[in-house]
Amino acid sequence: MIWFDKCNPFPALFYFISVTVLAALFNNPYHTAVTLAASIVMFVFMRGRARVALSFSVVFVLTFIVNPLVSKKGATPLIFIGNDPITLESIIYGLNSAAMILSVMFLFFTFTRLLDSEKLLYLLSPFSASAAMTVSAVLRFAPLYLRQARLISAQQKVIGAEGGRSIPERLRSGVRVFSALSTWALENGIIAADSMACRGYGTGKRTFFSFFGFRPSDLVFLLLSAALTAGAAVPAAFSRLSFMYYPVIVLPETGTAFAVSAASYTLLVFLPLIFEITDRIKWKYLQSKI
Amino acid sequence: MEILTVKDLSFTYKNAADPALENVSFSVDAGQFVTICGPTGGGKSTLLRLIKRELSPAGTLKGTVLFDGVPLSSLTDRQSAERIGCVVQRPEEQIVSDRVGGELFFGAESLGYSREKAFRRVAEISDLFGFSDLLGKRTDELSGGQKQLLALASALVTSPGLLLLDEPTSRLDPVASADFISMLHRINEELGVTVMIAEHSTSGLLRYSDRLMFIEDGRMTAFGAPRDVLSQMPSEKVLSDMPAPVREHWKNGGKGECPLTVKEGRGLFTYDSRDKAPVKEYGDPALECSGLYFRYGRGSQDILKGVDLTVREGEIRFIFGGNGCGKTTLLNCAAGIERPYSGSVRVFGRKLSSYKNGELYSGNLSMLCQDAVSVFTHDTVGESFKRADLSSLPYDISGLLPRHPYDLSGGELQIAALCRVLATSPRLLLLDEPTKGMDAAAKEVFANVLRGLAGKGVAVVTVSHDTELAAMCADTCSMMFSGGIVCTGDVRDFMRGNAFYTTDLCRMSGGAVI
Repeated sequence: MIWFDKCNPFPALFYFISVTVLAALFNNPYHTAVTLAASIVMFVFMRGRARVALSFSVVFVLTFIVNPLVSKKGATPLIFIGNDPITLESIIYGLNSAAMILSVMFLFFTFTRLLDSEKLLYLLSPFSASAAMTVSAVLRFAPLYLRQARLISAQQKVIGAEGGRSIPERLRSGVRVFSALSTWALENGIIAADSMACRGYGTGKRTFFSFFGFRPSDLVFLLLSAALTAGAAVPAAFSRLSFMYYPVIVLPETGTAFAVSAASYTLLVFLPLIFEITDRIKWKYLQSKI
Repeated sequence: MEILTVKDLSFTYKNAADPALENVSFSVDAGQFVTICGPTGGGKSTLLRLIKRELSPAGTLKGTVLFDGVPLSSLTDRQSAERIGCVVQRPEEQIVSDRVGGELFFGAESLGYSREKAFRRVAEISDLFGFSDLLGKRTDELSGGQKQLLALASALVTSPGLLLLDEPTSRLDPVASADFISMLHRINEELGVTVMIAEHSTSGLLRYSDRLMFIEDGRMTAFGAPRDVLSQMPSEKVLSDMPAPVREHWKNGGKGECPLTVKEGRGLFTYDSRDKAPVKEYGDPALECSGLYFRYGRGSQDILKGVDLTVREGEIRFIFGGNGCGKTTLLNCAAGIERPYSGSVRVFGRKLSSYKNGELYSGNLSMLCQDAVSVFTHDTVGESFKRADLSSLPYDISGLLPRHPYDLSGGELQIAALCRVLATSPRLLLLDEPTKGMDAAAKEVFANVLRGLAGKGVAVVTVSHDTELAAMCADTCSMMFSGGIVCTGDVRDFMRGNAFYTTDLCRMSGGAVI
C-alpha cells in the first residue's frame, strides 16, 4: 500500500472512521461482505502474516458460535439444546457480527500499520502543538525506561542483590528496581526539562512542523471519500435500508435509494485499493516510457 | 566586539557556606573558541550554568554578566533561549523527541517560527550535520556520537550567537568525540558562533582554542591564548587534564615553547629506551569463552560471531572496539545476563550453568554495568553496603556513605559503584566503560584500585574506549571488530601497533612509551 502509506494522514483517518461507522450503522450482510472483502485485500497488500490472519479467524469463529448459544431471540428455532432453542435468526446475526468484527480487525491492522508515531503527531498537532510534543516525548522515553529497568535488574543480579527465588523475595527486589527506576526517571526528567527550557520551551505559543504535504491525489481521495460517505448515508434518511434480524428477518427496501447507498458504500470501501492500483499502473506506464 | 563580559562574578549555592565561584572576570569576543579546564567540582559547570539563565542554580550572585552589552537579567526569555545555545554532558537525556526531525524542529517550534524560517534553518543545519537522510529515524536508534551531534545541531537551529557546552564528549568513544570536536570547530569557523566548552580531555581542543581558561576551587587561575597560558606551569590538578605534549613539556622542565598538539610534540622529547613488557605470571584461566554466537532475535543480525577469549587470574584485560562491535554484549554473555545461542562460557573452569542459586555472583564473578548509578537502589549510598565489610574494600568510601547516589560526582560514583561490586568479593571482575565522566585524577585512583586487585589474583576484564586508563593499568588488550576478537597482545605492543586505539603519548613518542 505505497500510495496509501504516503497519503496525508487526515484523509486516511477520515476513510477509516467513515468506513467503520457506516459498517456498524448499516449492520447488514451486504455491507459486511463488502467491508470484509476490501479489508482482506488490504491486509494482503500490507503483507500481513498468515499467523495474524489465523488468530483473527479464531475470534471470528468464537463470536459466530457464541451468539446463537447465548441469544434466545428469533422466531425460527432449528434445534433445541436442552430447553434452549437455536434460531435461524440468531445464527445469521452471529455470522454477520462475527464477519463485521473480523473486517474491523483487518481494517485496524492496516490502520495501525499505516499510522506510525509521526503520523499520529501530525494528526494531533492542529488540536494542540503541546499535546503533539508530549506524545513525542512519551514515545521517546518509554523505550528508554524499559531499557533502564532491564539494566538495573541485570546490575542487581550480578552483584548478588536480587535475592532468592521465593515469591516475597522476588517481589521485594522488583519493588527495589522500580524505586531505583523512578529516581532515575526523575533525574532524567530534570535533564530533559532543562534541555527543553534551553531551547525556548514555554516562552510563547508553540508551533508544529512536519514533512507531510497535501498531494493533489490526497485531496481527490478526501473529496471522493466525503462524497461517497454522503452517498451511502443520505439515502438512509429517505428509505428503510437497514436489515432486521429479530424476530424474523426482514430485508431492507430495495429500490433506487438502496442501490445508490450500496454502490456508494462499495466504492468507498475499495477507494484506497482503487488509488493504490491506479498508482501502480501509472508507474508501470511511466517506467515503460523511460 | 565583546559578546560576553563577566565582571567580578561570585556565586554561592543556596545552603552552602563557601562560594562556588569567586571574583571571576573575563570577556569573550564574538567568534572566539574558549576552552575551560579544571578539576571536577571546581566551578566550570557553575560558570556555564550562570551564563545560560534557564539552567542557573539557586543561590546568591554578585557581579555582572553582560551578553552583547546587555545584562543577562534584562534579556527576555525568548532572547535568552534563542541567542544562547547549550549542550550538556548526557547525550541520552537531553533528546526529547522520538524522531530526529522532531528534535531538530524543537527549538523552532518552541519559539513559534514561521514555516519558512523553521524549514530553512532545519534544512541548513541538517545538511551541515548530515542528518538529512536520518530525519525519520528514531532517536533511540542513533549511536552515542550521533545523539550528541543531534543535540548540538538542535541547539544551533535557533542561530545562537553563543554556544555553551558542558563536557559534551565525556561519554563518547574517541572516534565519536573527535568527530564532535571537529564539527564544533567547523561551526565556530564557518557560522561564526562563539563557543565556550568545559572539558576534561583537552587533547583535540587546544589547537582550535583562541582562549584557554583554568578554573580551580571557584577561582579563575588563568585566561588567555593557550600558548600564553601554558608558558607558565599549571597546577598539578589542571596539568593532569592537559594533553600529553603539554604534560611532557612540563615534566621535562618546561624549556622553550610549550607544544599544544601531538604533531608539535613529536621529536621534542627524548626517550631512553622502549619500555619492555615485564614478565608476569598469570594464574589459571578465570574466564574462557569459546565460539560465542549471539543475536537478539531469530531474524536479527549476529552480534557476536564466534568470540574466543581467555583471561587468567591476576590479568587485567582491556577490550577496545568501536560502538556496536559487540563489546558490551560479550561482557553480558560472560556474566550470564545474556545467553549465547552457540558456544560456551566457563568461569574458573566450570560452565556457567553449573553455578546454582546465585553461587556465581557471590565470591566468583561480578560486573559493573555501563550506567554505574544502577548499582544503587536506595536513597543513600550506605544502604547498599549494609551487609558489606567496609574495611576489606580497596578504597575508603566512608565519606560517600550518607550521600544520595545522584549527588556524587562522576568519579565518586564510579568508585563507589566499583566498591559495591567488590563487596561481593569477586575473583573475576567485568567492567563496562568504568571511567565515563572521570577526570584524570579520578582515573589514577581507579587504575590503582584495579592494579591492587590484580595483585591479589583477581582477573579483570574491562570494556572501554579509554586508552589512557589502559596505559595506566592494563596487562593485555584485545581489539574487537564486527562481532569477533581480531587481535590480542601485551598492552605496549598493542598500543604501538595501533593508530587510533592508542594514547597521545604513544603517538608522540613513536611508540617508545605509552
